[in-house]
Amino acid sequence: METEEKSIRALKCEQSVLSRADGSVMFSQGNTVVMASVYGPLEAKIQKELSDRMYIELNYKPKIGMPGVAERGKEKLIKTTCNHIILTNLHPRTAVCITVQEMQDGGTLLAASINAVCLALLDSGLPLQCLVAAVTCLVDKKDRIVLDPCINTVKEGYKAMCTFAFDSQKYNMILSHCEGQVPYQLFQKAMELCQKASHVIFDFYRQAVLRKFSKELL
Amino acid sequence: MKETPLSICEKQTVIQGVKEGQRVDGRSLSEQRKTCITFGTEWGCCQVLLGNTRVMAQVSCSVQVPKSSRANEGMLFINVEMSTMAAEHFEAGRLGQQGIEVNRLVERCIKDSRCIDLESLCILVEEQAWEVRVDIHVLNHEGNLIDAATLAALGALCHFKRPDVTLDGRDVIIHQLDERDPVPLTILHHPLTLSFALFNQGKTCVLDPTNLEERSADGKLVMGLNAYRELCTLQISGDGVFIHKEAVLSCANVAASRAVQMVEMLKNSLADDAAERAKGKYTGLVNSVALETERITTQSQAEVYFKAPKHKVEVLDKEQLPITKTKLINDQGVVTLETSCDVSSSESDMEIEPLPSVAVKKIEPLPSVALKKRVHEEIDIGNDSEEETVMLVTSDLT
Repeated sequence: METEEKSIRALKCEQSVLSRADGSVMFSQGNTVVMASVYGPLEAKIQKELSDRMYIELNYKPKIGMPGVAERGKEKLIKTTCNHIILTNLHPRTAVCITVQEMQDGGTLLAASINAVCLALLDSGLPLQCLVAAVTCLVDKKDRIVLDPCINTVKEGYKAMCTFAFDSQKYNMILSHCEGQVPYQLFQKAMELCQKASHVIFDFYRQAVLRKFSKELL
Repeated sequence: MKETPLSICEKQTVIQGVKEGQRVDGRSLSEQRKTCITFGTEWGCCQVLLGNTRVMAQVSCSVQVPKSSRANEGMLFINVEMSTMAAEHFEAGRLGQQGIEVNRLVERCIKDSRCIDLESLCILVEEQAWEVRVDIHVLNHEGNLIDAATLAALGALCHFKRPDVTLDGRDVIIHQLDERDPVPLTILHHPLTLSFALFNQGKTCVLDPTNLEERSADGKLVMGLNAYRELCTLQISGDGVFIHKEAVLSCANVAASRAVQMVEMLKNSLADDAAERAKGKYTGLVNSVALETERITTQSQAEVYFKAPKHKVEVLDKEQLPITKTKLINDQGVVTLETSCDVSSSESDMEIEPLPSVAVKKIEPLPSVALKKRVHEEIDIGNDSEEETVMLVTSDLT
């Protein structure tokens, strides 16, 4: 198979940044910076309580103004991803409260948010089924696939922007979100590319955890 | 969720300690926590760390119709956001009693002291004016939110630049940021608040209280001052706290000299940011991810390259409908990140050499944690008041 060099932007994270949250992370992917915090398992409100599993409360906070429709949409996507990875039936009648704060927009906020939430969950020690890594790619006006685009590329305009999330066990797809029109073949290629790129993110998670525990052993 | 209750013994320890002139974190009574100010890539984004308390402020602007009562002035709107991220008892979208207090005090310190020249924000009298909005996000609550929020808001306002505007007759042309250099806001003075927790029936004042101290204290004294040592805000809260006139004056003296230092620090941070931006390739808050080097994990750009299947993009003909691939993943679970590659095959992305595998790199041994010595040195802070205030300044030596 022919190959070519592709890359995602530099990843960086700081775990346990917040002193009060059970798990927190400040995550950067290129120039995009996102902070995520996890509290839980907590006592659930009576109206939110689920008798067989944990209730996931997810808040996505934009930098400017109140959360609107776009933010609610992102919340829903991240929440469904979380629902898949957290072993919710281990903690019935409780709630977990996840907050995502946008800190700097450098493109691909959704993918960065999902990755940050995964790292924060990892930091909190909540039992997870698997990890999740999200990658965004963009199909520009000349039908080229741009992996992990930066804000300038996004602003230039595009045909479609696709975000995929994969699990860490078999690299199966958990989430697919596409804005715009894209031919099926390109979509498939974009997905394959993102799946390959997700390996890099899983490697990064491994490093992050190694780093965290090697420090604690010192 | 409810806030974790404060036990009586915790409270007693703090109160007893303050009586003896000691604090839980080892500071002296008139010593602040370490302050750190960082800025983002966008104009008007400022993050403040006051010890473990973390607050971010973002300024934005939009063109609105000015108020009929003040037709020649722009508007300033301050909004404090507290979410569960900061503490377990905060609720997203709903400011509690504490949130309203912080919001109102920041408003009083910054808006009511008229430090922003609102008249310069007017474009056309009675028709168009800029509305400047400050969103303050509380990220971590470890006490003294008011000081952190005011500092973040002021830092963001100083950092902010609005798009330039030209008038062509009565037509308003707003220039985009890349079209013409943006204009900073006119700031007349720099007001900041400094909070004291009152213990021992208002006889002892403790500067920059932590969350534990705030909850054990009898009351709170908030002072808003600018770099010219002028008082802008004063608030005393608490149940039945009496405070002596002399205590207020001595607090004001301490706060004034602190405010001068803080404004100086803010200006230095702004200058550093401007210098950093001038160098190009500015990454903003990405740098602040590395505030505590022991806790961060990075993967440099050189390590994130990987081998991807080469795609030939062809324009699809109408007859040639894409064949549905049933098997989406060819090599499930196999991490194909080999080093050997056919370099000649890639023609576009050739700026870098093929890199060794992306597999987990061995983490280099962490530097042994150097013993941090805290050295207390007495520094005379020259001020123009009759009595000189002697302060303790600690510096971390590694």
